[in-house]
Amino acid sequence: MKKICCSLLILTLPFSLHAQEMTSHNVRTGQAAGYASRDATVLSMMGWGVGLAIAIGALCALVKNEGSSTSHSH
Amino acid sequence: MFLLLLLAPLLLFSTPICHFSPPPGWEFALPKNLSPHIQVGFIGKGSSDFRPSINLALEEVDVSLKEYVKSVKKIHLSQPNTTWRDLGKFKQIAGEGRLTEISSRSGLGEVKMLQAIFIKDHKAYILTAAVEKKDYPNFYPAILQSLQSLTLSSDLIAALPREELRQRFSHLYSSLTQEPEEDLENWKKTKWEELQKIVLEECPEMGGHWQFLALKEGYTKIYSQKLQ
Repeated sequence: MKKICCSLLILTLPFSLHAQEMTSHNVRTGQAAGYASRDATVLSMMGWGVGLAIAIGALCALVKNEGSSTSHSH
Repeated sequence: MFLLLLLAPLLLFSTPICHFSPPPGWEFALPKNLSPHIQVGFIGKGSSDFRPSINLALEEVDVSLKEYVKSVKKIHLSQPNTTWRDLGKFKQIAGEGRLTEISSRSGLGEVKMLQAIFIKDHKAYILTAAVEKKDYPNFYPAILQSLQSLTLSSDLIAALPREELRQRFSHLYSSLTQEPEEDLENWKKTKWEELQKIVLEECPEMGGHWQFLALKEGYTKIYSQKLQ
């Protein structure tokens, strides 16, 4: 019985966490679509296009830079 | 049985991989000053400095598609010099979404945008393409095809259309986690080149977004480095 109760508790935990997450986000519904149109214009006007393999390298450099700047700030 | 009960919540909330095919030849747009909702962007070549672009944004939602589109309409119409039109139901590979059109002005002229919105399991998938008004008729067919290509797959390998390719990727990805004891740098370089060759040369039909995700996944395994 104890095992079943424990299982039920574990099963329902993500649901309650999910519900909590949904309600705690005090954001305006549809904002991603709003930002997406703004950012589409930004990309069109100032976007820097690269090949995929270069993109991965660039993202890697970005992560390394962020990592090193974080470590410097501490 | 107990283990299954434990794993059930994880299976229930496992997030599918979302990908789409940008128009052929469009380049990956390096993310700079973009909203955190934007997952990826691609840009093409237009007739002026305003390049056509497409991006994918995600949002956690607790409303229906109808309600979401209503909110989006309000947001767009609150912007100056902007018009918004609902173009109706829109069939995508992932399922039925909604297509809308936004017209606005930028520093480089009049802009037309097509926005396809799809909602599944409390998540909104938003594909937005922007193009200068005068280029709109030329790009419309390719953009429409790209918006329709939105796909949700259980994982990257499952999205591949052929069993032979799925097996090759499974083997390749498992080999990436088995680092050799000697000459590690050379091993990493060779594996990264092998992955690029397979992804870029043998999977062109998967489109730029899937290719990007596949390379990113492989890079993370090879270099044990988490990318955004």
